[in-house]
Amino acid sequence: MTGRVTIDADLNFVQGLIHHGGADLKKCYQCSTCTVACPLTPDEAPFPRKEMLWAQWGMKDKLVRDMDLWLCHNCNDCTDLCPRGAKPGEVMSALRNKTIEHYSYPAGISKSAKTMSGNVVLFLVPMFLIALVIVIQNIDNNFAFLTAKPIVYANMLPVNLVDLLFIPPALFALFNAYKAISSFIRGLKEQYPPTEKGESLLTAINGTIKDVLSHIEFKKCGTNKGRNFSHKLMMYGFIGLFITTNSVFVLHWLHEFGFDVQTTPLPFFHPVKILGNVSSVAAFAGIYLILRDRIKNSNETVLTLFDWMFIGNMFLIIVTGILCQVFRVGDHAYLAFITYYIHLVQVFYLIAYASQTKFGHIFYRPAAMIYSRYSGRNKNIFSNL
Amino acid sequence: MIKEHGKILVIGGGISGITTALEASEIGQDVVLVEKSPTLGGRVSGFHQYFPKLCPPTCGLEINYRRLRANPHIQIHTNSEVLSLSGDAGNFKVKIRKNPTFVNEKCVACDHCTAVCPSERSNDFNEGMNKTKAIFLPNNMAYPPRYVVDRPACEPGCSKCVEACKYGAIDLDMQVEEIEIQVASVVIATGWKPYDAKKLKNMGFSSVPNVINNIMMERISSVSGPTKGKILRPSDQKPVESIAFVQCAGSRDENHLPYCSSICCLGSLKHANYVMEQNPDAKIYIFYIDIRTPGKYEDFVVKVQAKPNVNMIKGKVAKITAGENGGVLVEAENILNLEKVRLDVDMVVLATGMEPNLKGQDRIAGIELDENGFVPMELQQQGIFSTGVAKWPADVNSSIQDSTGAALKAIQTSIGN
Amino acid sequence: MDSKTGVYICSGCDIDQAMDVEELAKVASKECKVPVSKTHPVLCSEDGVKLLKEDREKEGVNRFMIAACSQRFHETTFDMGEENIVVRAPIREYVAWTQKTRDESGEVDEDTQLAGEEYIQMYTAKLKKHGIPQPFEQDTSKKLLVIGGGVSGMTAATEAANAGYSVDLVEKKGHLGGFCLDEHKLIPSRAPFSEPEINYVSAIVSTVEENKLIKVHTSSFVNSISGQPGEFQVKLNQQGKIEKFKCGAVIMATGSQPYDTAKLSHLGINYDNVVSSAEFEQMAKSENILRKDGKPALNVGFIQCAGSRTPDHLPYCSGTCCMDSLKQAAYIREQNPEAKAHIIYRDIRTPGLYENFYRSRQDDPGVFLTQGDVVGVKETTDKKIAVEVDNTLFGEPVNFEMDLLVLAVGQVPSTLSGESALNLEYRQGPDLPELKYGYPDSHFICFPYETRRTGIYAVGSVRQPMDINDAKLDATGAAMKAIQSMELTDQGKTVHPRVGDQTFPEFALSRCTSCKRCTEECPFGVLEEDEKGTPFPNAARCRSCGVCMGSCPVQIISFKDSSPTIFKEMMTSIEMPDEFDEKPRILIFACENDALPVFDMAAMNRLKINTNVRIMPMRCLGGLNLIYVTDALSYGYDGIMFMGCAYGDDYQCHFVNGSQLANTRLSKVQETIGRLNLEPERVRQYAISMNDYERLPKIIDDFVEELDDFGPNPFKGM
Repeated sequence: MTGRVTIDADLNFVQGLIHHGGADLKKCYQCSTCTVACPLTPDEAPFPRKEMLWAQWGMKDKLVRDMDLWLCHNCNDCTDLCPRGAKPGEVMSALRNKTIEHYSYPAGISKSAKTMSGNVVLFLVPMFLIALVIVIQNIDNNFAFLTAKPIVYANMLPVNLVDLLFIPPALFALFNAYKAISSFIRGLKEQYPPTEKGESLLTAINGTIKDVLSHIEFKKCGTNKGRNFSHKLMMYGFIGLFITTNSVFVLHWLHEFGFDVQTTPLPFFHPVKILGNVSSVAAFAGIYLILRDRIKNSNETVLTLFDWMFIGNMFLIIVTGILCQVFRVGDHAYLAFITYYIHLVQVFYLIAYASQTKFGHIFYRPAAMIYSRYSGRNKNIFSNL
Repeated sequence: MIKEHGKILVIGGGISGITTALEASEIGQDVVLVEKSPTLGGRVSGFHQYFPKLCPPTCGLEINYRRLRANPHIQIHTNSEVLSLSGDAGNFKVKIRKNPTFVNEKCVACDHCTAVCPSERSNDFNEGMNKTKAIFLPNNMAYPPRYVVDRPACEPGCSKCVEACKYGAIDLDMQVEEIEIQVASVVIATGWKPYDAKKLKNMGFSSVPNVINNIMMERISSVSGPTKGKILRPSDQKPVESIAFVQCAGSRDENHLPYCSSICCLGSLKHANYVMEQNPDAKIYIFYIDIRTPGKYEDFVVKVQAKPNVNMIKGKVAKITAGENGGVLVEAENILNLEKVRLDVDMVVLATGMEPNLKGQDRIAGIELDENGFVPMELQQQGIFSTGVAKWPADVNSSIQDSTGAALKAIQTSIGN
Repeated sequence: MDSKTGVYICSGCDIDQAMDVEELAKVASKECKVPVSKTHPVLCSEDGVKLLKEDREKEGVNRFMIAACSQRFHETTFDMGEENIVVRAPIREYVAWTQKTRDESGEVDEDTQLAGEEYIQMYTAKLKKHGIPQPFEQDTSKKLLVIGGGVSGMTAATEAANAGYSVDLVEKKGHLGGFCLDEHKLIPSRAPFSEPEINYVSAIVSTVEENKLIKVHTSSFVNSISGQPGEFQVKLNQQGKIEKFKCGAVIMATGSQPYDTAKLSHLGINYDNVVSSAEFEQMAKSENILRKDGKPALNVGFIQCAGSRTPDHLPYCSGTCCMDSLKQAAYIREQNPEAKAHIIYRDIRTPGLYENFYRSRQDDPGVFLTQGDVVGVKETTDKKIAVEVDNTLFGEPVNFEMDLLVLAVGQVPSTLSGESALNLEYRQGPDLPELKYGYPDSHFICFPYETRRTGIYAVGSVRQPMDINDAKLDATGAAMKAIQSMELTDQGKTVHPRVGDQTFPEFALSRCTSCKRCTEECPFGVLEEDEKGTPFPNAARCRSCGVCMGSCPVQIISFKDSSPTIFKEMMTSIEMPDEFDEKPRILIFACENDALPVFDMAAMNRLKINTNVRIMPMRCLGGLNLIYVTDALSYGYDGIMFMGCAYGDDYQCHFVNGSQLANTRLSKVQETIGRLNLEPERVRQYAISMNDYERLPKIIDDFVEELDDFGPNPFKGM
């Protein structure tokens, strides 16, 4: 044993957690039913019992450097069996949010994403920027795109401008994510120094990618069995849409540089179009299922604004994306362009603040999963099964 | 000496009810004692030993039954139920249904009837782990010491026992009888039942072989139990060489019993003793959240814990599955070591909590229950008292203490104070 | 009145399947020479009882020997009225159900028949010597003395008064209320058990003071108590003034005090900012939760089990400290929302619905809890208190820095204060005998109120560690027992466990050698002695166990239904088979409470018992007089088994040390047996409980087998 750790219980931190998703964390009396119920925890220093204790004592330093928060996939098997109703699954989720906030770079954005007024500001940025560009672009022709037939979104906002609008925030987001994740990993290293049982970095990354794509962890869940499917749908949907968007980007610039390729609006049977539509449907179905489960279990799970913003954001992106096409084909110009505008604003929010909102889990979770393999943490070394 | 005044009704003939009835009646107070089952004795009559003295409950019951036999002030109705209570302190009207046992007071317990009886029934005294004939003596210590017929278990039309009885004690046409009595005060001593462990979906009770509850453990350890006191695991009658006790099985759990049943820690420590007595080399694991052995009971845990094969592990067992060769696999976190443990043991005893008997369908009109099914005094109208586990999860000793006091409270009402 | 004996033999319940009952009846009339000897097919039937009653009325039979089932059956059926004596010979259990039955040709087994005949002889012999029980008479006071004016004492007084009994309540201090009166708030006493309760002790004080049946004596203590239940003579000292009065029973409710904190220096009690839970209670009461330097205490720590559960201090759990610290944590949070309470516990003990209180304190974000063992308490330079804790939930040794540290100090019974609260003028000493840790003996599970001084009941935290809610319940129960004692004493009957018994020890004092053994060995301090050392019994203190009878080296002590003479008559009533008969005879003396019913249990399960044993009931093995051994051996019995309760730390004897005393006496007699050139192993004591019926046959067979090796008792036929 090394030296004694001095513990200074942090009342404010506890109260903060209670107000942001961990409402019942104090009810825990440390029986560790949760840890046994958890299908994902390793055997050595398992979770989430210890996280519950740290949360109760407001031990922020331990928590933000805790990779186990991210090994948790919110199955809620723990919450289901918890004899005190402390909802460890929810507390873990709240702690993840707290971690995102902690590492958020720049620091303010994540805080803003937690409050209503902050979110207004975060939304005003794209709303203003995009509106400004549309106005500048179309003021001379008196907003002719509204009456032009057929409806072409590029008439309102040429693809070049879209790219111009979205590439800087994307770079901004990537930079912020890099800053946040690198300090996150520094934290993990301090708390879980790598052991000789660890995998090489490459194997770790490779394994993690496989795990993520196969949703192997989600599959182990008992209580939230359905989330394996719905999260998978949504994840693949968004990956599909990400590929679609980038394909369109590539096609556009190929076209710009004189290659003979189809650009938007793409015909219905164009492979990229098909991918986009299938992905939209998948993502929509995924998010619908997630929302349905969340609402069904609303008395068991506590959703904070931070959670709702993320789900709402995803939902709106998908819905507006689909509606854009519907209105375009249905020839409702005003509806189509308004929807497209909303769509762009939502996408901007998602991309620009990616590492500071709950969407940030796409950085943290793989980072933690990779690190856990790399450090040797994920081995069930006591398993005799 | 108490002279002119009303009677006391005691509902429940377990150790609490017996105590209340005896303590009140020994100063001349008239008492009516109503017990639902065919014999007095209640839960304790099924126990092998009491903690911490490890003495048999039969010993105390024997003294109490002797007191009862000699007592002219107690009227006992076994196999009877109180249907309702109405009226006020000093003047309660009580409806009692006397269910037929089909055997009258002429029974001498000679056992000739069981020899001819062709039918069997599951033995509830042994928690269904063996069988009795359809006509049976509820247990060795049954009071009154009289046989009972489980009519639904009889073969239709069979009256072999009636023919075999030389004493005219069996009357298969005995009818339900309803009586109404008047009493001055009422003591509720209806006791408890073990929480239904089937409701604990992660505990494997009834789905994993060799997972039993603490009451079954008492019966398995008792000389009058299904194995004549040999601790054998149910699936293959193998002597138990390793055993895990799972504390708070149902208790301290909002999904089940939110309160602490207060006896289970001591109960499991006692069970550990049962096992060690038969096999000092047996490995014993007790998984707990907090060990609760208040007051002088602390000596008991200290003594058991000091035994080399007793392992106390802080951490609740939350997963029980079938292990190798009839074994049972239990899983917990050893919290103080921060690691998960999995053990494959011969048998698992769930320390199931106490659920008040009145909870649910067995309510009695006129008695107010709290949300857990207990009978708190402050909810009752004047003249109605509760004692023992009907009131609060308690051990035998505290229940008896409480019941002695309840006798005085009831007397105060019955003399009009 | 002339005595006329009738022997009635039942042939029901298969008795006639094992024995020829007509032959038994003949033995009764011929060998025992009883004037009436009858058989009946079902003695317990209406017809059977009618026969007995007719004989009582017409034949004038007033001593009945019922040879049928055991006394545990049909006790009231065979009640022949107060003036008539009934003795039961359980030939159903001891013979019919446990011995060989008739063979295929219908012949009875010789040994079985002999067993039946011998039991008829033995129990008829007993009946002949049996006297008629007489209640003692005295002028009984039904006033209750309660010592201690805390919650327990006040509750006991009120409850007894509410049942119509007058009470003298004595309190050492100048006012009633006791320890709990000064508490800031109390632990919850009713549903939902979630918040501390306003202190209601002063309301109890008012109720007591207003009760006309309760006479309160404050600033007083008991100078002495002499006499016996029903007529205790009490001398009260009220600030030097002596007041005398009589009372019927005593409740001792002198409570407890916190453990001496001076002994807790290892927990830092000498540092400025470490206080005891009692001191903290007062700080909270005056809303003054401060460090010694006057700064607010924002970080307050609680160390549970300060003294308790620690072998060198208090080995027991004090039972109240977990609830108290949770309550005090609530004070901290109430008085300063910025302040934090930290509780370091070994196990949180909140049994029953107290779990709700734990839950509500846990819900408070400012209450922090962890299990752990405190290994060091140090003062830092800025007078903070550093608490080092191992075995924590954190999985690593940790350290806390507190502004103020509260030690949850355990409770110690007032019996250890050095002063006697009772000052009994009893030969065996002024106090209730101690069981352990200052708590009085005894603590039966089934009978929690039995102390070793009849009519004197310990209650509340002097009896065992308990909290205020338990104390109130305990006090009500004790009041019931005290009332019962007064009422039974008034009728001249004994109290628990032989409730209603009217047989008491009688002393043939002309033969007394003043050896004082009886006065010393009586578990209940019944006997006083004069200057010469001659015993003087106090019948109302007596519980009729017979320990004195067993202790007397010259056998001058007897009971109406049990005495050395009766035992001798019983054992010599049979004709001892001679050494060539190969019919050894073994006597089993069995304690009536536990060991004797084992034979009934064996019988109900139809277990076969060795045919050579004869069973003699005793009220307690403590009644074992060594003369029984010499009488039996010299009459030719081959061996003797004494069966009674377990003794030692977990003794099960309801007369506390009866079986222990039997063991001591037997160890002394071994030498004597040796001097008779007999093997000491011929006499042995067994701890037998009701659960031992399955192994009983083997225990007996093993003993008989061992005797075989020694050969027959050479005293046979001498």
